[in-house]
Amino acid sequence: MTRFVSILVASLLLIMSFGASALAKTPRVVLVVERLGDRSFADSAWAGMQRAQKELRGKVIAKVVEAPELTAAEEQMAAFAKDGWDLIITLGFGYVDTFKKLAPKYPNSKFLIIDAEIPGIPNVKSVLFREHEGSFLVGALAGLMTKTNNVGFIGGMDIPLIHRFQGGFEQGVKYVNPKAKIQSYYVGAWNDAAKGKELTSVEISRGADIIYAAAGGSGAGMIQAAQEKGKYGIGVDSDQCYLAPKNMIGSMVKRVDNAVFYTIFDLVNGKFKATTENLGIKEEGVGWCGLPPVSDKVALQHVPKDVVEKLAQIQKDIVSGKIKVEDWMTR
Amino acid sequence: MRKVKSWKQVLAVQAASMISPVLAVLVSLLVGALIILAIGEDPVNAYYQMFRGAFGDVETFVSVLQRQVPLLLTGLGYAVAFQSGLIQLGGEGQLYIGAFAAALAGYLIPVPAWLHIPLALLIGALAGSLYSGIAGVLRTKYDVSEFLTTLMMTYIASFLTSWLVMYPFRERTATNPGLAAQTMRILDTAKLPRIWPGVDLHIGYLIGIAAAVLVWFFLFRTRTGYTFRMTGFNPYFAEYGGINRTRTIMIAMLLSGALSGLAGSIEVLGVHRRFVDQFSPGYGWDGLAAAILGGSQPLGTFVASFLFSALKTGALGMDRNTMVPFELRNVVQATIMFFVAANIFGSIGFRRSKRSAKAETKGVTKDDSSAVASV
Repeated sequence: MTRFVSILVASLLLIMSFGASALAKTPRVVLVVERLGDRSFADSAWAGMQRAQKELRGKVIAKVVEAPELTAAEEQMAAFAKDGWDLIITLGFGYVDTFKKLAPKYPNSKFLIIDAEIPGIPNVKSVLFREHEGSFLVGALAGLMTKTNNVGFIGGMDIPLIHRFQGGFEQGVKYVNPKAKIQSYYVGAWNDAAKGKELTSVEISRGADIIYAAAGGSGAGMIQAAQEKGKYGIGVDSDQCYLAPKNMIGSMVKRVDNAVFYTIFDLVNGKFKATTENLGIKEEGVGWCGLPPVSDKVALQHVPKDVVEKLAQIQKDIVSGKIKVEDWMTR
Repeated sequence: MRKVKSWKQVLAVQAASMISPVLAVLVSLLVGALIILAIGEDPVNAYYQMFRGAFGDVETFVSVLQRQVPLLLTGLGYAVAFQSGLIQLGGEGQLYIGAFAAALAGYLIPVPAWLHIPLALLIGALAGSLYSGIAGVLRTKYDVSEFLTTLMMTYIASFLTSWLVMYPFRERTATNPGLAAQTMRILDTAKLPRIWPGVDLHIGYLIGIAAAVLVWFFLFRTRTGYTFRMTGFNPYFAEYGGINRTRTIMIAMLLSGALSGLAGSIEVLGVHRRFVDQFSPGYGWDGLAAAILGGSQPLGTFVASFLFSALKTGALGMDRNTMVPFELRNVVQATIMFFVAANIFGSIGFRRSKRSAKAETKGVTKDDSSAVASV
């Protein structure tokens, strides 16, 4: 009889433990993004998802959904939240309204928004970047490397966020090379590579020999034009050097991938915090890909050692506060 | 005197006219299934997920209805134009202009709700109507093809509103210092109320249905509507019969633009609550597809717009739960349009209805000639 009872208790415990393990289910994370394939901003977030899938194998279910339109994105996010997904990630201030609506309605889900701040909601984490610092660095790079004393900037949309890139870049150029001329144009779209290429060609024909594009998918046009005209280009967000190894002297990397990965990492370890993070050079959130931790070989093959050393010094000075980079976003 | 048709006759004609679009839809879904197979997914499961994504629960079904409204209204706009023999393709542009005007009316005019909502809708419709009216004037005064002008003016509208919302009318508040290319939020008094509390469906849906009924009544039950259809059927004969062609074309263009402008206004007041740059994912084009599949008939456009909306909403669900991408919906819709436009299955319906159509024509011509004489 005792044996029977003990077997019964043991099997009950076994069943209960199965039940418990089934209840503590794997966290599910979804990235809702307008379009993948820009090899820049969106793909950087995607890289973070892929890293999570690889390094946290078995501990997390990660999915990426493209939603090329506002209403569709909203519906997708709502459906995932309703289905009980644990973390919903999106990019850009275009979804602030959506998150403000969804987050209070689904308090059990967590939300991460990049490039926009939603304070005061206990399940929304916001990540911002100090892009002007990284842009200052690549501006200094362009200022030191230009032979014609003429450099160009291509912006995606004429909006405050991109003014910040432009401002950092212009300040960086002027810091090392006060006489250099800077041309700046805006494409007016994130996915118009043809127009990006056209504007780059205009800048090159007016004497620019190094172009920095902060234009999402439109930046692909800058890289093409630089390749065709044999000029130097500087990429943005993702490290884009591999796209044109002969012409790229670097990228202003913005580590959206790290922001995504570490948020998932925290979620898996039960340490998710609904804070606002503001990542600059100090936090390794932005920077020039030629310097550690990236140390891109393509960039270093074009940039001479003394320039690299100068940039490393500028980077230190920004971190220490010796160089103050003005933020044009609020200007 | 109008001869009353027997129910059997009516049904036969209706059924015959439906064979072609229904076959087009079915065959296109089969084509879609082949593509799903090629991706390496199970088409039965994918279509099941698509169905569930559209009709699975209240939220998704509400999305279907919500998404149908702009398709239906722009579709009705096209239907009016097509029935009048106008190849008007500018619904998307008129939608943008109407939406922008409605957004401005929504946050600039502080009046109580009972006045604000109709006023903002009216202003939006009027803006869309004036915009298509430009093409109408060009057509009637200078004989410039409305096909070209409306098509080109779509791009002008999209870029113009984009510029307006990027520079002079961009939202600048303490919480949002102009981060996104969007206008200020509309006032609470301009928000379209929900039909039932708790369900996210706004009264735009009822406006859409009312518009469909009114367009049907106008086209098929009023004398002016009859002159429109007559002009579409044979403009020279209509003019000979005493119909003022210039006037007909102008009114048809204005009405068509008003419906598309209304579509944009409802999107702004009911869904986005502000004008967001490039907010339309091609509602005007999907509406065009709905009008063509629906044979430029109000009821047909209603059914077709529901179908396309369900297809799209369902595709979102399919994207969530399978590896088949959302874009499959574009493939299916484009295939439907291909079959309808090429009239691949039209001949089948035609042969069947030939006999009954003959009997029809007799009665109709008699009826019509007396109506023309009296105009």
